[in-house]
Amino acid sequence: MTLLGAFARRFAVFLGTALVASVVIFVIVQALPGDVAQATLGLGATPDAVEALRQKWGLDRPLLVRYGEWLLGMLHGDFGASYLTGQSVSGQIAPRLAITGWLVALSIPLSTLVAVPLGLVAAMMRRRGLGAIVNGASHIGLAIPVFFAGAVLVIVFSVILGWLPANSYASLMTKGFSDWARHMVLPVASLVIVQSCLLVRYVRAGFIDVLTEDYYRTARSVGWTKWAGLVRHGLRNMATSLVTVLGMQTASLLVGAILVERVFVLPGLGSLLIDSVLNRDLMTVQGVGMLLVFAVLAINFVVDLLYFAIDPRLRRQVRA
Amino acid sequence: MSVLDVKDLSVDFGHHRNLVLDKVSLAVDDGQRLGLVGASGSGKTVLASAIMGLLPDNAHISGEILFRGTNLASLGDREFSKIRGRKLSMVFQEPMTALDPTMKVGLQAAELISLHRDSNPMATRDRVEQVFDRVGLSDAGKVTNAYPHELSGGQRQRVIIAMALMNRPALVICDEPTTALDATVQTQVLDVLDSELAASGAACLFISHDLNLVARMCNEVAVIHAGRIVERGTTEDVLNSPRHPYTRGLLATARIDQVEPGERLPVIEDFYTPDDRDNAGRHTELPRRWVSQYGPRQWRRSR
Repeated sequence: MTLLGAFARRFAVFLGTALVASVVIFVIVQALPGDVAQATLGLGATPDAVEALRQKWGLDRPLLVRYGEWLLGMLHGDFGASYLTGQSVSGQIAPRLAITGWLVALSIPLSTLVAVPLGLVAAMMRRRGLGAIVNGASHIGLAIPVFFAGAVLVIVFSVILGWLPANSYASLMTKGFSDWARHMVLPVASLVIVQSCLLVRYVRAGFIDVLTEDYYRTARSVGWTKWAGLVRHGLRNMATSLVTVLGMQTASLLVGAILVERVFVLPGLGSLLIDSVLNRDLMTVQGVGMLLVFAVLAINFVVDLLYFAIDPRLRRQVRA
Repeated sequence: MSVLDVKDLSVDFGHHRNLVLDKVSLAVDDGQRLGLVGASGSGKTVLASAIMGLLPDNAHISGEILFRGTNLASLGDREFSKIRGRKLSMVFQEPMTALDPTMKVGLQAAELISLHRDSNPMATRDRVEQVFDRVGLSDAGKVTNAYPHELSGGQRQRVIIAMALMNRPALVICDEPTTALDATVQTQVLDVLDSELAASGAACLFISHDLNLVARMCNEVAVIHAGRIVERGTTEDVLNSPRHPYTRGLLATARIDQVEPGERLPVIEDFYTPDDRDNAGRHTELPRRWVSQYGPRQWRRSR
């Protein structure tokens, strides 16, 4: 089979999984106990009024029809309208996705940039002081909850020093770059601190593996110094496990960023999901849930492609 | 003049300082092929790694390793790296894992040139293909563009030999270069190694436990046992009239064709005479770690 065929197959799996997920999400959400119309009107409402609302929202129609409408709508970006507010779900998601998207898009590459050199040092100097310090610091950093890191950063940089705003979001479009950047520094920094501590551990373990490999010894024997040889012949070999972790972290951060969004009063995707679950805003829950599933599947798809780019042995297996 | 002169080299490992090499002295002359024979765990590979400066971090080393008058044991990583791959190179035992799986072999071989001298990409590629061609990699241009997993074990070992010879080194250390290959490929690879070493005039320290290979490749042989060089002489002398009981045992145990079916296979200890035992009745030549395992604590060497 060709490489293109392998991509096509993975893409088909990606789409198929997304379709199955949409069914699961729809069934779970629509089968939740508690009638939305009843809940909205309160316990004192007459059955007639409840029935009228059900008809108005289309809840009396068969499940299959409602699923079909939802699915077709999503294909051109319409996630339906909220039962509670009547607002478009897509319209609710978009601004929040922008905030969470920036947090993820900035913190993942930045924490990688921090973690790779630190992990390299921790691996190479693992029997010496500096390596132990980096390793110990990453252990401690792992134990710090991201909201705590955020709170400490706010106390230091906003309250005491007054350099940066403590909370809220400034849109890049309307407020301009410098205002946006000033508001992003602390939330992104607190994510980077915690994320990079986790990454350092994987990078360190990956490089330590390389140090014991025969090809590293060969690299040394042809004249690479310890450090240069490890970077030259270790980075790419270590990268497979790194992108696996990065993929998982990106996926978990889409919702997990709520921990830092709450501290900095940023209306992100996670808080939209939680608020709409609490309010029984089913269309929004369905929409956000579907978006997250789609994002996770897309991330996995990209990670799969990266494996092929990194490791030539996988390309061979595909052809064989 | 000797290209390599190891003097009183001792190596021990780790917290307990387990002694692996015990005051080893060994000289290799210019252009000479010296075989180094010994059983598993006798310290062959540690000696090779020590000469290459590739011992793990927890190794302690004492003594001198003079390479063309420079004491390698006292060199820092940066200075040593300028010698490794250029004047001193190594062929490893395991061709399947000795190459970086994510990099084309031509690129890995080209590093030998780009690391040690200024060379434009065209000249580098020509040189790589020329050496690949010499070690019998047919269609060298295609091989340079292959990843290691796309080559057979024999091809990979040829690549590694080509890399070791790339900069016309003064000394090539071969650590069981054909052990991992099957018999027919083994012969071909040895032929290539033999002729290319002869053509380049490089000296060679040929490490093996296979006496036939050593007899074929080397004019002199040293026998290492329990971290000590116990015997050295011309290949003919050592193989025909071994003086040390360990060597006698090594030679005799290699002749399993003389063992009758059903008979017990000889082991090296069978060839020790009572004279070889110390007062306590122990073999004086037992490896240190056996001694520390079975003997009283004061047997463990401490420094």
